[in-house]
Amino acid sequence: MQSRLLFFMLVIHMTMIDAHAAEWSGFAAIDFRTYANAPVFAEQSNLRFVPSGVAQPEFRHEWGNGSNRLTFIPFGRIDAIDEHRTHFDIRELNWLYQNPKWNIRAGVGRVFWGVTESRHLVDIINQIDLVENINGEEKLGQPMVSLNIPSAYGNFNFLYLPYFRDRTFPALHGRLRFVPPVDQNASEFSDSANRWHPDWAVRWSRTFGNVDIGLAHFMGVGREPRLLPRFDNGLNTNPTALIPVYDLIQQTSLDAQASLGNWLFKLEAITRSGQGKRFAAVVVGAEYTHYGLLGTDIDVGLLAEYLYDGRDRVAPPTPFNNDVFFGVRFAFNDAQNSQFLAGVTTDLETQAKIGTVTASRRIGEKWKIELESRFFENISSDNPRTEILTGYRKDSYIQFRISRYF
Amino acid sequence: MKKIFYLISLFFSMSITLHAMTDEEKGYAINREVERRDSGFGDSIHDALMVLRNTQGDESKREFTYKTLEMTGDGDKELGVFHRPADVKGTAILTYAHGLKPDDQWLYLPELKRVKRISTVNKSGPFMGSEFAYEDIASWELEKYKYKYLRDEVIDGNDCFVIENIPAYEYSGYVRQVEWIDKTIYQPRRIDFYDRKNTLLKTLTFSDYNQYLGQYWRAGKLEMVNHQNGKSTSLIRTNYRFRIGLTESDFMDSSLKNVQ
Repeated sequence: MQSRLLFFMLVIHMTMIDAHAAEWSGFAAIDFRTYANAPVFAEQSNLRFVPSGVAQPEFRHEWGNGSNRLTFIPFGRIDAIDEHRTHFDIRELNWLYQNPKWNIRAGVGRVFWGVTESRHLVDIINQIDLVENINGEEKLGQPMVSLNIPSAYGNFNFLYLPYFRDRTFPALHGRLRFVPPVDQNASEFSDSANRWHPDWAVRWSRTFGNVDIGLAHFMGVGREPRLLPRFDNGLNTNPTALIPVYDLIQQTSLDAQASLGNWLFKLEAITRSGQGKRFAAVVVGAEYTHYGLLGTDIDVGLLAEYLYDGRDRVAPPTPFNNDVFFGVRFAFNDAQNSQFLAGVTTDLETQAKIGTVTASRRIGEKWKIELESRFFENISSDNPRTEILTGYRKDSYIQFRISRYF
Repeated sequence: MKKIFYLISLFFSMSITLHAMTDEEKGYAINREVERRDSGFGDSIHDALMVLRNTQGDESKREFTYKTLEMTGDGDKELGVFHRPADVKGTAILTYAHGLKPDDQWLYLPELKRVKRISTVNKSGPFMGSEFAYEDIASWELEKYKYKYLRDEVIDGNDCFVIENIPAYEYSGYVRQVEWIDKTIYQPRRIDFYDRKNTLLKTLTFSDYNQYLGQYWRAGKLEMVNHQNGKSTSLIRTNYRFRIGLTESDFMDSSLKNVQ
């Protein structure tokens, strides 16, 4: 209640701030999602055509000639079938101070690290908002103090992360869930980990001509949980839920990209300890772009990536142990900024496939339409212990979104 | 007084030397003077409004802020941050121009907070869907072209040198350009662009020139007309400020995360 009151006071305060240096923007959208198949599990909603509404206003206020900035980005979604997907979050609420020598950001923020397309391996600062999207690109706001020092020797970023956010998971009725469903409210922590554990991260990045390199280390509560079965009906029955268990980890990462003519080369690699044996994982790939297809303004990009992950069975599950990704991207370079991307990630051992199609186009000045489709093939139905994606196998969908920006 | 004598003698010596040169040398000498007169501005920032028009007369607007840092011994560093249309608000393009060497370029996508390197092979591609190509927006550097003086001509009451520019950098969409350089301010008044088939593709006209810091001329309005598809784009540049103290740290890929 108190936090709600505080929130309203903040909103009132913000609307009163000098309108000249303060600005509101953001978007609201409606998603229409259609599932290709009836759900696998009896508890899941039978609704094949699922509407959902989402809004993300953005507020910024600058003062001191741009040296100080307050950013506030709340986020909310209402979903027709999944009560966990109906959720609210503060994506950003932070103060930025910057001068030519250094800058500092304090509050709730978002950070992205990485270069590859098919998996965001080195991106570790923010927790994934999995109910929003399974691609790992929607993330929860992370409380942080981030000090950034640009120098002739590259950029140094120091992050203090005082509070941990639990990953979101779909509810029992929702689609795109694990088997059995994860009980997102039953999180456990191993060792001395807890939500108030102070986490630290440091990243050095530098550009050498046509090559960008980032080297980072994270120590704290790993954002990926192990998923342990819970037996509510006794140990001799089937598990009724999965419990997320978060561990203290150390993770060192390298990301690099190089531009060479029409080619972009990309690499992400990590080594992590704290979840079973120390392991390494890597995503390496290339993107070739052909500019001006057949004399038009259309650019065509071809993408290929290889994914390896050497984690053992006690570590958090991943579908990307030994996979390849192929994709194609079209940028139409028109006044409506039309884009298209299609890609398929294939597991080289099981032949399980995750496919993605996204397309977007601006309509007029303030509207945008987007298409998003994910499809799943060759996903085994019999062994949830070896195939984490088994719960997804009938959840291929096509989603149409219309957004209004303001 | 001394300065006036110096200028007069410079003027005469230049016009004498220009007469004794080949057309190529003369074209180069004029452009070297363009470069000399424009060097030393340090850094600048301006607001830009782009109005895209299609053949039906429909308009579409882009707004961005453009920062430039002059580099000695290398091409300029440039940062464009978009404010409009609303769905690309906060998107930024950072460029390190290198003359004949390929430029370095990054795109910042604010919805993911992601910095992506983009290939600079794409020089002839459209800038934000407009009739300006990336190479038209990029900072002009002397060594990017081979020059040839063609003639003198008066356009719109301005006495101009007419010069042919042949791109010396790779991946240009143009086989040549014909440029009218104002003899008084040593700035372009008009550029005709010829595509790879040597057909007239676009005409760019510069107007509303203002002088800053008593030296540097900047056009307030650029009008690009595409003769082949009938579309056009106006670029209105306002609120020019110079020497505001920008440093290299404002133009690092890590600083893209703080543009909005």
